[in-house]
Amino acid sequence: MNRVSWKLLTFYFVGYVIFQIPLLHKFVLFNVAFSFFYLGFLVFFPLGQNPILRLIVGFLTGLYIDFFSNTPGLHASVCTFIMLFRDTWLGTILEHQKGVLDINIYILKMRGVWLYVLPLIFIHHLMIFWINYGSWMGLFMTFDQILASTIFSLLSILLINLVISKKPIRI
Amino acid sequence: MQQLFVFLFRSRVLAFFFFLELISIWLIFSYNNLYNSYLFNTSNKIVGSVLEMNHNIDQYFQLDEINEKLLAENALLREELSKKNLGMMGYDTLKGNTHVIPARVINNEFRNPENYLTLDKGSLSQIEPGMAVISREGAVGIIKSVSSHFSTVASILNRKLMTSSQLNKTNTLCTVQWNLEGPLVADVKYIPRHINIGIGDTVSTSGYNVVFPAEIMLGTIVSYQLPDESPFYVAKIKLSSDLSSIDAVYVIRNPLKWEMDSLQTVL
Repeated sequence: MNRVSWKLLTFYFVGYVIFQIPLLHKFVLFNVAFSFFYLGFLVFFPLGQNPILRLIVGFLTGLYIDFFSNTPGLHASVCTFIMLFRDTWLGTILEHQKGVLDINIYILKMRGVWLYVLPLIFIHHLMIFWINYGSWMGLFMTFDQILASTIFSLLSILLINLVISKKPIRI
Repeated sequence: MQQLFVFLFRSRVLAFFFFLELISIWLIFSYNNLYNSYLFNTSNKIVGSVLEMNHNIDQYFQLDEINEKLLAENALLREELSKKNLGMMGYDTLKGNTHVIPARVINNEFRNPENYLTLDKGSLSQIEPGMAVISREGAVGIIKSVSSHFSTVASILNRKLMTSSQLNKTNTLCTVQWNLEGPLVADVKYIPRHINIGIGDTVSTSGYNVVFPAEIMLGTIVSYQLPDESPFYVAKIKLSSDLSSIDAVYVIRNPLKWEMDSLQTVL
């Protein structure tokens, strides 16, 4: 079994989570699309870790964002929820690639992006906006924001991942 | 027991997940203004309804006390009323001397030839034998004997009790006596032949025997005959107070009773 690359994880943490804070309120397109690219850290968190640890990582990441965006509990609850079923989902997507621990865009490929990254981001944004507006009516009214933000976040996450992760050397 | 631990161990991830979610929800509700107001409004509504229910239950258990208060107030009002009535009727010496004591009936019989009630007040409440007992609907009886906390009443459903009464239409003196027919019917005796009576005429106490105050309702005439050989009518009244279902009564104390009685015996 491969060991978890702590170097890559640190890069992910800095690139996704630390960088999110100064850009949290700046990355807004036409007041419609918001970029929550910190989610990339959770999406690309190593596979096969202790589930308790996974939940704690999700919770603390969300809480970290919450502290800076002045919405205590909002991101934390959604991130914990995402981290609950993330490994099961990712495991079924990557079932033909045994022994994979570190996740990056080259391992996921297009199939992984469509079936794993995009739905995960969509669910995350749906819940964030829903809880933030506090009603089903608000969910309808902000659906354009949810869709635009999902696309925006997806693009940011993939771009950051392209910068951080190394392309595998083909033999 | 072991299975329980196994189950808890298996579901530890889920339990931890719920734990973290609870913390998050707590954070959301305590720091988010929108959710805070939701919580506040909902809890206000719930707390309000609980308090209201609490109040209702409290009220229910206070009903007894409230009843007592109302009885006392009623007694006071009756006292005032009797003063006023007596004043109007010219009994100035009696004015201010009648005293009304509220009481509850705690034992009641109405199937014997001589029926007695028991009241929950006695000599400590200044009840003495010979006082009149009335209810909201009309006359009930006369206090027969008294202990410190209880008293017995010879009710008007007692064939030995003859109540001095009057036919209200003509102020004719007559006597009401129970005839053992049932708790609602009594005989009216000694109405002379020359009086013209009809069904529905009211009969009340006369006030001549000092026990009952005047004009306490006794009942209405339901039937009458005038036998050829008799100097008096044979009439029946329907008693106004149903003694088979009686609860609150008032004992009337007339301090001048002895004075009046002793003067009459001298005659």
